[in-house]
Amino acid sequence: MKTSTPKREYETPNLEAHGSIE
Amino acid sequence: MMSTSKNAVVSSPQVVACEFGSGVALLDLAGNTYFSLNDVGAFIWEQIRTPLPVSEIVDRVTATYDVEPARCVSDVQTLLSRLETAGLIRWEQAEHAG
Repeated sequence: MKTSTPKREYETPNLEAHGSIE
Repeated sequence: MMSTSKNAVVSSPQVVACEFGSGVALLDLAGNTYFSLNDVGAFIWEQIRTPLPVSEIVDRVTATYDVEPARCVSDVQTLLSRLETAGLIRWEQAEHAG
């Protein structure tokens, strides 16, 4: 019997800006 | 039929990524700025290391995460819009038939 891999918990993908590399 | 529109998205070559925690940090060497992506964002970033149509990105996210396709489409489009505004991705012509 084929079993499916449990799906991972979803969260809204988010891009966060942190500033300059300096 | 080969698509001729620029409908595939790929990460910009001047962006360096390194994992930390469950997400990823992005260093934009062109803009000298750095960003971070959460877990799902990092998953999407990994997918677009090579050019990929948005529909394929959505398929891969919905196959991996417990999310409704409609919400996923909206979230992916929002994220890609922000990545594009930040100069972290670019659009190319998809190389496969569609």
